[in-house]
Amino acid sequence: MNAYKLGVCEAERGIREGWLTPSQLLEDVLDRIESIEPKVGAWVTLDIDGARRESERLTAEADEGEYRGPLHGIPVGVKDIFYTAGLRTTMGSPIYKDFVPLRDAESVSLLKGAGAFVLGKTETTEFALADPARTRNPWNLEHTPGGSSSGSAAAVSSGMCPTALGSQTGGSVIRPASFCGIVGLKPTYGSISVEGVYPLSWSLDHVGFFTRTVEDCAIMLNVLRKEHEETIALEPTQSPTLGLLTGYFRENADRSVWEGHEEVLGKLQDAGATVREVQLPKVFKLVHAAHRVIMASEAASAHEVNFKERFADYRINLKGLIASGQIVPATTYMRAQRIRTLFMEETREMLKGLDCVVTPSAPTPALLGLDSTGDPAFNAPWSFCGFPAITLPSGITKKGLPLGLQLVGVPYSEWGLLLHASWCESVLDFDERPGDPS
Amino acid sequence: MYYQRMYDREYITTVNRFLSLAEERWGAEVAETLRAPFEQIVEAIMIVDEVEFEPDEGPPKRVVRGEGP
Repeated sequence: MNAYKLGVCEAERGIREGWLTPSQLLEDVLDRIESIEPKVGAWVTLDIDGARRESERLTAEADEGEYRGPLHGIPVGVKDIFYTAGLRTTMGSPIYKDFVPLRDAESVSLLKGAGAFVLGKTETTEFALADPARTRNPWNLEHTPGGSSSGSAAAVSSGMCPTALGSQTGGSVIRPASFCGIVGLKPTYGSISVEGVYPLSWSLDHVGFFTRTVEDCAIMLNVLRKEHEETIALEPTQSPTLGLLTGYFRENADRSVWEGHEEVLGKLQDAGATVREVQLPKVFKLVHAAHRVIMASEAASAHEVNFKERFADYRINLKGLIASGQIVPATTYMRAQRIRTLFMEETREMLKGLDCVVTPSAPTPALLGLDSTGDPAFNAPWSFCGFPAITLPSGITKKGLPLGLQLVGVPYSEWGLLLHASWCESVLDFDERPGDPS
Repeated sequence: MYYQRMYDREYITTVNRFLSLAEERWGAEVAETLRAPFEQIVEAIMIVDEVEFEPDEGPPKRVVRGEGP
């Protein structure tokens, strides 16, 4: 049946219409995993027995016409920094290699409540910073899938699950989604619970997720934000007014990325979008420094005990971040927080009269090699101010690697952002998927 | 102020001071791996510390539900 190719909405439709059962979907997905996981390496732990038990239960319920919610029978991947009851959660670190939580993270619990079941835990960089996981990019195994949510992005992209949870402190959802040619959403700060997710930086951590379409993204947002009454109707009636950010973004983008971005904007304009160049807020020049100060200080605090007791078990990037965070004066930390507030205010001003602003989703396509997961510089500003951002695939480089378009809106404008992303998705009509990795 | 005296000195001196502290604590090999992150954080601290705020400017707050465009 090739049900592994179905997205969340299509699979859910199949389950409700009776031409697909949760068990059939799972078995197709497991076949897919068996064939490509040895090459991609997206999973830390697969819970095959647990998933089979749960899918059988959900199949029986569907046979009786009972549906738990909008994700009934959907297998999900969960980044390995989210607590999952009874299922090993390693944080990508030897320190937690045998850790089995007694409870689910709140986001995992919400997915289960809506009828989803956990297929397994996906690879993460160490504690969701920058020390790479073993995962490879399904579009080209010689390239990074991005990080830190490396396994979640690669698994969704390659058909090993229709959706997966991730997290973003700098660029850990938007960048891997872009590198893997799928949709990724980082919602407004605080709008999805981070309870039960191992912290990297409390002021900057966001729960996000990966899907293959914007429509699927809307279902996930609906469930994770507990907005069950909200009507999902992604039928844009009006072409959007987009703010084009140049300056820093043009100067720091690879040539292939910026040329691709201009081509995409041309297509959107031809289809009726208004594109208006906007100036970055004055305080933008301080944003990356202030982001680093906050992330380093808070990571030093979150890891204080383990760093003292298990120093040798930390890898080089996180070791550096924590050690450097220990030397930040409290007054500098507070200055960085004040810069964050100013950036929020100025970004809100910048967005006035616009539906959203657009940038490339990353300065480069997926980098060659697995030593680095790429640069979060185009995403970190929106993690810093907490404004929602979404990426959707927008094209392919000459070397066959995907490019992404990032849309950013004001806080809690996700439904509008999804509407505009859906409009862009239909104009760009990107329907390429990675072939079977060889 | 105390912290300004700490960080307003020559950039490289500050980094080297932290590196020698790291060397004392974790050894020379580990300390050398910390050079780049120390350089990055000292640069970030210097950028952030140059900003002049009004007394009531930018108190920390969470993003709030705003008016959509």
